[in-house]
This record gives sequence, C-alpha cells and structure tokens, in this order.
Amino acid sequence: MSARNILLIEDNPDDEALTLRAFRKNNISNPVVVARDGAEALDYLFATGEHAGRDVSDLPQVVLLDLKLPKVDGLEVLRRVRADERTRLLPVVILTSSGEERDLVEGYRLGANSYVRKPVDFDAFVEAARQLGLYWLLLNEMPPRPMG
Amino acid sequence: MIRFATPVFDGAGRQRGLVVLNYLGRRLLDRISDLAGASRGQVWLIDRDGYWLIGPTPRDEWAFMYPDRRDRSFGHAYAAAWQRIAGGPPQGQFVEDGDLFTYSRLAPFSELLGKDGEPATRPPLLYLVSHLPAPVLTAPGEALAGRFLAAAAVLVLLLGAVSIVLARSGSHRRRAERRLRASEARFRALVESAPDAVVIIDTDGRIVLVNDQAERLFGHSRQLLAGQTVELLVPERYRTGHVGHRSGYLDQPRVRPMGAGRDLQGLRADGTEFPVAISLSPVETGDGLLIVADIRDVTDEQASERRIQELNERLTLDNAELETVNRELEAFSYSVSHDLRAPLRAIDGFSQALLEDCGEQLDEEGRGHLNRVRQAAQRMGLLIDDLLRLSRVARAELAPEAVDLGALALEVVEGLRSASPERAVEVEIARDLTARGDPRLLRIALENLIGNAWKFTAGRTPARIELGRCEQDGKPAFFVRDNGVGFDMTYAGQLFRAFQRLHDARSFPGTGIGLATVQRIVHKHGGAVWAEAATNEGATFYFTLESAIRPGRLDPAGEAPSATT
Repeated sequence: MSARNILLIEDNPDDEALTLRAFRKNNISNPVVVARDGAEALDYLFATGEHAGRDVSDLPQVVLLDLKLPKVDGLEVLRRVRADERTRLLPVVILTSSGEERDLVEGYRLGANSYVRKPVDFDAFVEAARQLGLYWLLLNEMPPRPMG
Repeated sequence: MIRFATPVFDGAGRQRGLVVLNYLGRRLLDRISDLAGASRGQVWLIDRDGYWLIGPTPRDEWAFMYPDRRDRSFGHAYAAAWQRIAGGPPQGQFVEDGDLFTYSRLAPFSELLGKDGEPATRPPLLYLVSHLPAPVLTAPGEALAGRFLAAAAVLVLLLGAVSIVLARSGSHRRRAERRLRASEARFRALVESAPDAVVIIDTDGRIVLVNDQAERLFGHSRQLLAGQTVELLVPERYRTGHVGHRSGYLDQPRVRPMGAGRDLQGLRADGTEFPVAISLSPVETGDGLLIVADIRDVTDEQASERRIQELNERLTLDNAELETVNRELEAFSYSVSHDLRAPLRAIDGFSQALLEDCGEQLDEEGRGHLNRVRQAAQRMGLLIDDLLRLSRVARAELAPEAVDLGALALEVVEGLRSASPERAVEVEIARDLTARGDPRLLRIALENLIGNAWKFTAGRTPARIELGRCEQDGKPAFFVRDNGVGFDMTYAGQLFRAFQRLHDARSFPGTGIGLATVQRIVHKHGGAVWAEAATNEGATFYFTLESAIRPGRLDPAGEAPSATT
C-alpha cells in the first residue's frame, strides 16, 4: 500500500518550503499536497472546484493546517471538516505560528487532533516535523476508510 | 377649678388637643377651703372678673359658668368694694358700707406664662378677700373682738398658706426659668456653633434668630434680619412661590429637606445669588412653633459635582478609548504572533538551509556570519514571545482563587530540571505557601523568578534556590532566594523595566522582559515586588499579593521546609 498523502494547508511559500525541507530531512516520503488557502483545501478534501472528480474517500493521512489563511481561515476549514461525515474523523494537526491561547482553545474545541506551534529556530522546526511524522505517519492508526 | 390650657401638637405639627393645667388652682382652693374652715363664708376667693371661686355659699361659686347665675358675683353684690379691690393696690383693707374688707391679690401664674415679665395671655388674677360684715363689726364687746380676731387670724393663716403655695410655685418657677434660660442658652449655643447658617422663623415667616454663619452667608446683620420676612433671603422671582411653600410647610411641619429635587437659590445682601441646600425642622417653643432652617452654600458642592460628572464622562470616553486600544493591541499582538514570527522562521530556516546546502562554498567566516544571522533571528523570536507574554499578562483579566505557590513552584522546578538535567540545584520550598491570586499569572511570575534564579546560579556548587514566606509591613510576602551571581544594588531601579538587563547576554541569555512581566503580574494583584542582592552574593526577590490568605511567618527561613528537591 502506497503512502497516503499529507495535505499541507499553508499560504506562506517560505513556510511551505521549510516544511517540505523539514520533511525531507526526516525522510518523510509521503506525497505532500499543498493547498494555499482554506477554499482550495476544502475543494481538495470534498473534490469540488478544481479538484472536482477526485475520489473523496481517498483521504490524506494527516492534514497540517495553518490558521491564518486567505479566503477561508484555518478554523473555518476545521469546522467544515468536522461537520462533514466523510471527513469527520480525519486527523488534523494545527501547525501555526500563533501561540495565542484563543487559537489553541478554539482549535481543540473544534476537534483538532493536535496543535503544534512552528518554532522560529529551524532546528526546532525540523525536530517538530520529525515527531509529527513519527506519530501521525507511523504510529497512529488511521480510522478505517469509509466504505465507498 | 382654675384652668390653664396649652395646645399640644403631634409630630406632624397638627394641634391634637389641650393640656389642661389645674394643679396649682386645685391645691390653692383646697388649702383655702381647709383653712377657712369655720370662717367659711367670710374668706373668699374671687377671680379677676369678680366671680366667687370660693364664696358665701356653694351656689355663689363659679357662677360665671352658669348662664343663669351670671349676676351672682362679688362684683355685683359688693360693687363698690369690688371697684376698690380691682382698682387698688395688690393688698389693702378698707371699710365699705360698714363692712370690713381685707384683700390680697394673687397672681400665681402670670409670670410663668409670659416671657420677660410681660403677660403672654390674660393672667388669671385672683383675689383673696376677707369680709367682715357690719353686723359682726358692730356686735358688742368680746364677741366682736373674738370674731374680728378669728377672721384676722384666718386671713393671716390663709395668706401664709397661699404664700407657701406661691413660694413653692415661685421656686418651681425659678427652677423652670433657670432651666429655660439654660436650655435657651444651650439652644443659642447650638445654633451659633452649627457649621451651617441657621435662620429661625416663626409661623408668619418672620425671622426670629440667625447665627453668625447666616450673617456671613447672606451679608445681612442680625439686627437687620430680625423681624423681616424670610423672603428677604430669597431671590425676587421665587418669593411668591416661597410664601406658598412656607404655608404649605406649616400644614405638615416635619424635619425634611426643602425643595427636594429643585435647585434652591439664596440671595445675598449684594444682590448676588448662590445655590443652597436647606433642611427644615419645626421646633415647638414657649413662643409657639418656630421653623429652624439649616442653610448650606452648595456652590462648591455643585462645582465638585459638575467636576465629578465631567470626570465621569471623560472616564467613560477614556474607557471606550481604552477598550478600542485594547482591542487594537489584541489584534496587533495576534498579528505579531502570527505574522512577525514567520519571516524570522524564514531567515533562520533558509540560513540553515544555506549552511547545509552550500556550506562548503563558504569559508569559516562566512559560516560564522550565517550563524550570527540565525542567532539574531532566534533571539528576536524569543523577544517577540516574551513581549507577547507581557502584553497578554497586561491584558489578562484576573481570576483570583486560592493558589498553592509551593505546588506551582515545584512544577516550575521540574520543568527546569528536565530542560537542563545536567544542572544540580538544591531547591527548598517552604510549607503552606497559599496565596490568593490568578494561578496562571502566578505561574508565569514564578517561572520568571525561579527561571532567573536557575539561570544565575549556573556555575555555583551547590546552587541553591529557596522559596519562602516572610512578612513585610505586617503583610505576608513571598521570596525567591538564590545563591547566584547577584547584582549591584546600584542598578536595582532598572531591574523591572522591560528590556533592561544587568548581565551581558553572552553569560546569561535573556530578553530583559521577564522581571517586567513579574512586576506587571504582581501589580495586577495589588502587590509589590522588590529585590535585595549583592554582586556575587546571590539575590532575593520579594513580592506581596494584596490578599494572601494566611498571615506569613516572621521567620523567612521557615522552620519546616516541606519540599526539598
């Protein structure tokens, strides 16, 4: 079974590049799909818009969700993911700059599986990516795929 | 029966009835009747109108009370004698129509009722009259002498009795007068010593008495004010209304503020007006009902009130502005939290990438530069984090509860131990460090204080950190003490300012925001924070929280440290 996708929802190209680099450094080989705003992420997940025709049941292994996003912000994306039966159990990790408490509280309240604050120190960032990969891609047992 | 009546008023000032005084009269009559005894019929008591109160026969007595007996009086029966008695001196003896009359005028009550010797009402004059009729006078020899002597003796006795009664009433009267004078003196002293202007008026609105303060307040002398209607002190446009209010007050005289809800104005002698507050109290006196008006110039009060109102309005505005600023600050720090760190991450991340990917193409110096770029970026990241924490602390709403500072400190120490397991630090935490405060903020404060102690004891063997309780000005204080490098107290004033550091960043990295944050937290709790230290001799940071739950121990070392880790 081929490695499932990682959906990285990130609007900042620097962060995107650094995240991909951190994955590479940790030998995370899952394909990474990048959505650059919340609307695009929802299109991908629900196979709408430019992702129309995609198999909705082909869910990513994990979603890495930034909070501050153009168009539809991260928390709204999370809300819709949790509201939809097809994606209700999808693992979502909030990966964001913000350490604001209200983001943390709201993120968990809306059903985030994890909340990781992107550190400024790249070494720490790489370490965070390593642990994320270890946990969500290797250790964590995914919910069974919905019967399609 | 001799009656004096005085109207009585209830609390609301309505006349409720009459108190009838008949004590003295009753006694006098009884005494006279007793003493007259056998000679009854010859010693009479006659009222001012010539009626018998004690007369020749019971039918003659009190005849004025019976319409059909109006002509039964001494005045009628002995018209000539009555004229001489009523018009003559207080005492006398004369013969009229052959009868011998001896009389004495009694005025037992007049002085009690009037003031300053002036009869206030018709005084109840009485006359004691001994009458020896001509037949008795002309009776022969010893019989005559006997009768005459008997009558004279009775009269002397009677006068003696009357004078005892009168003397008694006189001493009563003098006592009453003394009391009256004393109470009047007290009353005047009270009026004079009143802090406010006092104007006392009678029921006609005429000014009876004013005090110094009233003279000063209105600029009129008391001589001028006495007898004037009180409207003199009221601005012209209010006068008519005032007369109405005044008589309205008399319908229900009770202690109350005047003109509740209205702005009252007083008028000075120079024609200027000023705002006043007046309270009215009715006082029942021998001169009748008086109204005591306590008048206060409220110019300053009104000015203060206006000022308070202005300040309140401004405060409301300021509050609204503050709220806006707070919201902006929140938005700002939110945005800083999200946006400002991302470029730093890029700077650090790509510097690292450059080092990793192109490191060989750079010489040692070039790699050094890149490392400095990374360090600067990381340091800025820390600064931003600390600043955000400081601003969060500043904006935080206090949610105070009982907090076990010892337990909090223990958690903080455990965090420090796991972050730097190579350090060996002795930590002693006193028992019972319960305080009232916001647990999250107090944790941040302890993180900073214990974190500092941890940092500045690096290189000490053994390193020691102590958390305890002591007392400062009778209030419990807490302290965090270390045996670290300390600092020069000369610079203690700068300690709690943001970005102020007393140590170079190379030996002791930090942002200089930690203690500013501690101070913010302590101030938010209504407490204070201060430090004692000496270079190389450790430092002690003390803090108080306004409402620590238990009084602190005097011995800062604490007799029984509960947790030594």
